[in-house]
Amino acid sequence: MAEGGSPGSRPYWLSAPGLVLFATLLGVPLFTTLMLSFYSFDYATGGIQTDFTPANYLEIFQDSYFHLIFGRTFGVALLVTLICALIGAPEAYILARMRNPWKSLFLLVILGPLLISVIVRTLGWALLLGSKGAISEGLQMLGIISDPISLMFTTTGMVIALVHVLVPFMVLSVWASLQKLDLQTEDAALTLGASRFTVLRRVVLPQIMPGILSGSLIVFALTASAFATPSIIGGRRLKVVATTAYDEYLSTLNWPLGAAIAVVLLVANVIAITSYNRMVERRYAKIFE
Amino acid sequence: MSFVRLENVTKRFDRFTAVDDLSLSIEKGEFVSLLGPSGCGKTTTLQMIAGLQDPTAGRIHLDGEDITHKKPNQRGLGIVFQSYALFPHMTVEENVSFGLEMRRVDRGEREQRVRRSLEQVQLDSLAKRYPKDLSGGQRQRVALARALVIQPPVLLLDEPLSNLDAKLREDMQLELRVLQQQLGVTTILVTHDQAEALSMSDRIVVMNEGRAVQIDAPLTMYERPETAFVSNFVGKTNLLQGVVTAVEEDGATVRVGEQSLSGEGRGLSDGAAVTVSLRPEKLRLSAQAEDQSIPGQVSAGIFLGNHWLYQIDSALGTLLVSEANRGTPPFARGDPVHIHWVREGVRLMPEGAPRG
Ligand SMILES: Nc1ncnc2c1ncn2[C@@H]1O[C@H](COP(=O)(O)OP(=O)(O)OP(=O)(O)O)[C@@H](O)[C@H]1O
Ligand SMILES: [Mg+2]
Repeated sequence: MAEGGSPGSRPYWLSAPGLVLFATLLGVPLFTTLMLSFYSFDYATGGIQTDFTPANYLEIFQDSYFHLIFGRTFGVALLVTLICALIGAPEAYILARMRNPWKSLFLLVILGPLLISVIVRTLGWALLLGSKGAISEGLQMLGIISDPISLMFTTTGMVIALVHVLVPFMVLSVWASLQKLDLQTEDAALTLGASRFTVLRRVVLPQIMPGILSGSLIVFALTASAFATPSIIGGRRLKVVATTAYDEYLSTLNWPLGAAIAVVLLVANVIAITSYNRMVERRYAKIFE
Repeated sequence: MSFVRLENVTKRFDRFTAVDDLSLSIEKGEFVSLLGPSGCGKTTTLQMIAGLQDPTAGRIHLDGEDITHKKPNQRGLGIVFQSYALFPHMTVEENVSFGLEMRRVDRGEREQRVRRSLEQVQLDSLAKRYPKDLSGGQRQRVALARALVIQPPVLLLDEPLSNLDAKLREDMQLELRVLQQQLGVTTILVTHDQAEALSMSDRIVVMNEGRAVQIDAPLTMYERPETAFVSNFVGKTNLLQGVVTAVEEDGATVRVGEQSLSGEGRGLSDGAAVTVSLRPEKLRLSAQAEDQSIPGQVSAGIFLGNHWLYQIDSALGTLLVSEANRGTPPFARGDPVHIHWVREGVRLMPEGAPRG
């Protein structure tokens, strides 16, 4: 046929420009990174050897330094996810029960930060977390601590800043599942004799669980690969995988090792997300359409 | 002593009055329907009885106890919501069992009671299914079983059948009524379907704009509506405007246009404007004139299975008349006919009559 094959193939042709763009912008760098990760680096000359060796991967899997970094990254990711769920789910629930105009107003307050650059928000946290920052001064004024403390370059500081950055994603995700919740199921439970707390635990929570789980997925993936916040709050002293890869590239100039770290992070993230997703789907496919 | 008693119950939202000074006494085991057009305050009334809405004024009593401000989870009433409100994350069995768990009924008894109540609504084979895998009628029955399993003193039903198709709705009406009588549970049904209210209830409360307009047994409600609103809302009718020419014992003679006719009614006075209600089935058609008849012409006719409904142009205006189906179509479009009535079939209601 004159116009590009059978009618069935037309959608593919029409989306071809998009696919080409996508492949170029994502596929090519990904592929070169993958190739790069199998090369080796000569410290003496600072040159990259185009041999093909799994040495970089062996180093990552054997060196306890990398174990520490990967452990910290996924540990922080888990903790941030957990805290985001604990804060975000009730927040979304309360928000959904508010009346307009308060509802719209608070929704804006919660989502507003997404409009501000992560860097700016994190720099704000750096001001608050330092030894002369508001948190330290405040705690001293209240007499809870006697000497100034700094949460900069600590896991606590990093977790606080990451939670702040990522909690809107959890709120949005739970919010979406709350829209599907039939308010009358709460009334029904109440009239069947359940207390307010039991209603929340046995009726509301299970129904918004899919939202919490998909929100967790987003938060986890974003935390595990987060760069800006860890680099500002954690700096060189408290590295995570993303900042380590960055340093390999830009300070040590060991691009192949940096590439290998990035690839391991990507693969680990994909494995974590897909297995989690499969588990969630298996559990909820029966119940929700 | 009545079992459920509403005393001058009023509910206002901001300045809007949803339920206005409603009083109602319901006997133990009685089946009462709240019937009225959309937005007349039926759901609000039911929710106040359930404790899901706080009355602005008035008192609610259950079995002699004042429950006006008692929490909904302390009242122990069984409710079937319009949307059924089944718990989507629980199986049929778990849904029904929920109320018993809240009452800390021990496991063995719980299982037994859940099974029995699912048998009552013929759903025992679907106990392990989730609500999304059920049909509308099955969901409705789960909601009913969930409400009944706690053996509530009062069953509250908010348009439970409105989501079902016509055939299923009729079946369920009968099933529900039979079950209600077996269990002897006091029941309040909210509906905007007059046929449903007529077929199921011991008594009907017709509501309009937050007020109870008339409270009567179905037959009385149908035969002796006190206002034009009720006669028009309950069943089909022809409404005509007339003027009283002579008051009689238990009724009056009225003039409608050029035509004079006499009928039954209360609270009528000479010269007063009245609304005349002529039910289609109280009128009769024939080819010949008799006394008490007026001529007319068939302008349309539809077949409804057990009867025909004709539209007749006459001196009284356009009237609906129903004729039983006896196998052959009695009249065709354009046929000249005569319309007959008897005095008992003519209902007179004072214009702008006060409620009740
Ligand atoms: N929370 C509320 N705030 C303000 N107005 C309300 C509220 N709930 C109900 N109303 C109003 O009160 C009136 C009665 O509502 P209700 O739900 O009782 O009507 P209904 O008779 O059940 O109608 P339907 O047959 O449509 O269900 C309506 O006009 C409704 O708009
Ligand atoms: Mg309603």
